[in-house]
Amino acid sequence: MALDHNNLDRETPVKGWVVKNGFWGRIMTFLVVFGPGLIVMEADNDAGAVATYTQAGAQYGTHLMWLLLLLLPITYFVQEMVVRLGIATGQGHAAMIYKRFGRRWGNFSMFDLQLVNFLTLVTEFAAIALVSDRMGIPPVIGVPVSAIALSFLVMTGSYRRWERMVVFLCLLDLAWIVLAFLFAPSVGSIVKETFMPSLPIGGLSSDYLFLVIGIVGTTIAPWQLFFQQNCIADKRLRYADLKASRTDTLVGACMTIAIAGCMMLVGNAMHRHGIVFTDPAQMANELGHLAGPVVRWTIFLLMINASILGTTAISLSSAWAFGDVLGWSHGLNIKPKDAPGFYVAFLVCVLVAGGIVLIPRAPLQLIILSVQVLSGVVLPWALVLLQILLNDKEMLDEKFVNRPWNNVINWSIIGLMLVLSALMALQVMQPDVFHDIIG
Amino acid sequence: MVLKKFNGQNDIDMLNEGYRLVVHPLDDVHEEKVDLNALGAMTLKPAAFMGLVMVRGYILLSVGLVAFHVIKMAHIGL
Repeated sequence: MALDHNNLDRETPVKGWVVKNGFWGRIMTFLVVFGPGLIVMEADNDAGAVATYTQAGAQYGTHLMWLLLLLLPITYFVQEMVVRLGIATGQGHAAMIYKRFGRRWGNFSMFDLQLVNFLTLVTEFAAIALVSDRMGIPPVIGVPVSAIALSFLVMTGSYRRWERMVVFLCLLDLAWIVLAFLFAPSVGSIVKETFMPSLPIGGLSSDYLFLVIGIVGTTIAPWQLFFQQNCIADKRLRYADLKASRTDTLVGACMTIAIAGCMMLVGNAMHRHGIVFTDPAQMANELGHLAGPVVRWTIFLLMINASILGTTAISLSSAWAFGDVLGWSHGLNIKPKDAPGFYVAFLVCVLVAGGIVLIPRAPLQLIILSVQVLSGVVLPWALVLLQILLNDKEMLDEKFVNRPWNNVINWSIIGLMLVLSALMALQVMQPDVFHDIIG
Repeated sequence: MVLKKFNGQNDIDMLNEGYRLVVHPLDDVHEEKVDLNALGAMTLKPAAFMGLVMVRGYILLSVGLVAFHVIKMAHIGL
């Protein structure tokens, strides 16, 4: 059991801080727990998310801001369940699925996770290759350098060191807020479209619906469940940390959604100037012509940062899952020589995904398309298992198990995800289907 | 004084005088958690089992359709 910090005897050697009760006490208690919630949310603003949000802004201005407001509670409620599960059990998500559902159902989850993760990793490296090319650095140099930097970031043998570096990278994303201020339309129009949405000129179209589905798909992903629960297990969060960990997740959700909104506003600048672009790197060049080279380079660096954050989280969620299922020694607190399987799995994910990007004429467009659809398609499965685990009264005590209102909200989210995944799959199968129905 | 590093027995008395000790989880003693190995696999009710089979079936079908579509787009022999 953890120490009772208010009833220590004089011999107890403890490393910590003595803080005045009240405001500062609460802040310090929060700060020692802070990290997993911010990282899991902010890492979701990866390369694919930058492309989707800026494209949404470029095509529809502020007309999709309402969707972000809707996604804020959804992302929070899903990840909050993971927080409770992680703190109650101290185990990784894959381990929990295998132990409570058995190998058959566990294998399905593992297959889904590894397939979608690997394809997503390829897209992250594709973004790094694209940006490094636009920056004048050949991808054959830019991609390996990024992969090596990423490996150094992860293989320190200290969860705490890794977490501090990644939180710093997450905070760099705040630069999107500055960019949004540079290019934002009036505050009134942002507030109006967020709280009282209206349809764009031309009304409801297949493109609009597809972007709605794309935004939902990019905001919630299966790897997030595995990643945050393993972070919590590695950080050894205690029962008493539940409240602070929920706050961490809420702060992460708010920051991520706010930054997603800022990406839309930056994309909106292109909409207002009537400039068409195919990818965010091209957008950076165009905005550079309008606002100067600092803006261009800032967007380039933010794109690389988004890819690095996404790659770190996704490759770790894969390696953690392998460690959980195969019984390897695993965790960021363990040095590479003591957890070879875990770190080799991480390196294989990174190196193979990075290598594929460097293959001439690799079908990257096809992979990017597949990722968006597959991620949306397999997400409901991961959510259903999560929901069943949170109702497992044999495993969780009353403080951690879902309340009836949790179940109503979460089954509604799962229902929504099933409908959206069906629409997304339908759209890929029959690209004109929405056009035929809606126009 | 709002914040200071804990200095063992010199600071113990402060903990009863409006101060608290904040310890990073990694510096704290391991907390005992639920033993999943002892619990074993959960028993799924027939309705829950059928629900899982149906969701899985739907997802396998969707993944298969997506894979077929992607292979067709890539012009790999289908």
